[in-house]
Order: sequence, then structure tokens, then C-alpha cells
Amino acid sequence: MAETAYRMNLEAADAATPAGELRDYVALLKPRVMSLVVFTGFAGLLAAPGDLHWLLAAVAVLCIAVGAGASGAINMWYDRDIDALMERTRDRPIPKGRINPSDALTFGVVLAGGSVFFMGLAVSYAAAALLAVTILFYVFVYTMWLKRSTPQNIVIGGAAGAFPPMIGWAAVTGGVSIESVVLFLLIFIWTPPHFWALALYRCGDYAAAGVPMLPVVAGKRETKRQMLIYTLLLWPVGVAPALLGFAGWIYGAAATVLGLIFVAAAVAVWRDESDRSAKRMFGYSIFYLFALFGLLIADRVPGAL
Amino acid sequence: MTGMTMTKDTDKSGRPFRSEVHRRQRVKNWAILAVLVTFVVLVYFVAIVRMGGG
Repeated sequence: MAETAYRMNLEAADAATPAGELRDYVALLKPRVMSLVVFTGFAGLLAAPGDLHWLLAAVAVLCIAVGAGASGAINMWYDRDIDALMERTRDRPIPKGRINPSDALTFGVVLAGGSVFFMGLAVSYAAAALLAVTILFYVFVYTMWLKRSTPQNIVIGGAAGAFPPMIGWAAVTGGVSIESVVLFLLIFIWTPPHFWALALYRCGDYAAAGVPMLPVVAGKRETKRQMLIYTLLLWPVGVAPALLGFAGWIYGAAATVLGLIFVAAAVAVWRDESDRSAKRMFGYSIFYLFALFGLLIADRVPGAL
Repeated sequence: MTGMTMTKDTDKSGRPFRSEVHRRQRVKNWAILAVLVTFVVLVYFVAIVRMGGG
């Protein structure tokens, strides 16, 4: 009897305490977003002129990854109300009740502070400062301010996702230069057509949650027009690393072709009344960025290109 | 109640009985230990590299 009562108490405690599995904490770090951030940060690190000890380079990438993950956790803490309303996000650990919101916030803040601190001590103050700006920008400017107030949310907020190659560059050179600004612009201009492709076929979700994404506020036609403009702008920016001489001609040729396909995808979305082309364009946009930064990395590996 | 939980927290085969909360907490404790040990080792080697003029 006593044992039964004890077990019942424990079961009640289980139900009342969302202690969270380890994998829930991993989910708070938005691992898929993190993989893109790590990849572009690593590319910035490799593309930069100069040498950095491999261990310090690894620490720089680790700090970028943890800082990005921490921003994701704080974002999930703040957005828990709207995450519960959207199909894409309702399975996240906080709306599912598997993690306490305050636990998620603590987790994010500790990791954010730790990653900036360690980057400063181990790698460079410039890289640490840029990492801090990235985290603060994502949390305060994008998540808390822009996301719920303007359809230009992801245009300006995209800056947060565009900083990682700049941080990687700063880890090696200790500063900012025209080349690292080009890498920043590459992701900055890529972000709107990438996100709006997703928003086109998820706009019901965003509307339900009251997030003013462009297709919700200005309509699909206007969104498609702006997507086409951004892909046209992106085309020369994608080729710029070759024109500025910090990437080779193979990169330049590939960036020209990949940029053209991106423009063609935007034209297809413009013409297509269904969501099919938008889904395809969203998938292609991820491939495009991985391919360009992959080529930048390959360019630096002796004998690879 | 406290005394009872002290004496009856084993299952029939004598293993300590753990609730789901305990199990999850244990996994997290080990994870935190692993992270801390990794961090200490990392700081040690980073210090060696930096002191070597790296």
C-alpha cells in the first residue's frame, strides 16, 4: 500500500513537473538553423586571409553554434504564445509543455553569455563583439520588436542570420572588411526570398498567429514581386567574392549559374498560382546557400578546386 | 510519509525505484557533467595554445 502511495506521488510529480528530456533541450537550440549558421561561419573563417590555430578555429565555430542556439532558445521562450498556434511550431518543447518557459530562458541566457565570454577570451574581442551583436539583434530587434509589428520583419531581422560568416572572418583577421561585408550581404539579401517562399505556403499559419508576414499583409502577388527583386539583387552579390578576388573562377562560374536558377525559380513562383513552385523555391534556396558557401570552403582547400 | 519513502523506494527486485522525473533529472545531470568536463579540458588546451603565441 505504502509503495503504491509513493509511486502515485511520484507519478503526480511527473505530471506536474515538465522536467524535459535531453532532446527537448537540444530542440531548443534549433539544430537545423544552427547547422546553416555553423556552415556559413566556418566558410567565413576559411575564406579570411591569415592563419588561426585549428583549436581556436574550432572554438570559434563552437561559440558561433552555441550563441546561435542560445538565441533560438530565447526566441522560443518569447514566442511560446504564437508557437502554440502555428502548425509548424506547435510541437516545440515549450508549447508542448515539456520544458518550463523560465528553464528555457535561463538555458538560453547562460549559453549566450558563455559563448560570447569564451569567444572573447579564446579567439578575439572583435569576433566576440559581433557574436554579442548577433544574439542581441536576433532577440531584441527581430524577435521582440520586428517579428510581430512589420511585414519587413525578416528583411531587417535577416541581419542576425547574416552575421556568422562575418564573425568567422573576424575570428581570423580581428576585424571587419569589404570581403566580410559581401558575405554578410549574400545571406542578408538571400533571406527574404528564402523566408517568403516558406511564408507563401504557410501564410494561413502566420495569419492565425497574427504574425504580419508579407503574404498575409500585402498579398501573394506583391510578395512574389519582391521575391523576384531580391533574387535579381542577389545574383551579382553572389558573384562578388570572385570579382573581388577572394574566390576563384570556378566559384564565380557556379555562382553565376546558381544565381540564374534562383531568379528562374522566382519567375516560376511569380507565374504559378499554386504553392508547388514556392515549395520548390524554398528547397532550392537552402541548396543555393549551401552550394555557394561550400564552394567558398572548397576554394580554400588546396587541390580541391 | 518521508520515512515511508526512504524505506520503500526500491522495486520488487531490489533496484532503486525511480520515477520519470528522477530518470530525466539523472540524464540531465550526466549531460551537465559531460559539458563541464569538456569545457574545462577545452579551456586548458586553449590556454596552452594562447600562451604558446597562437
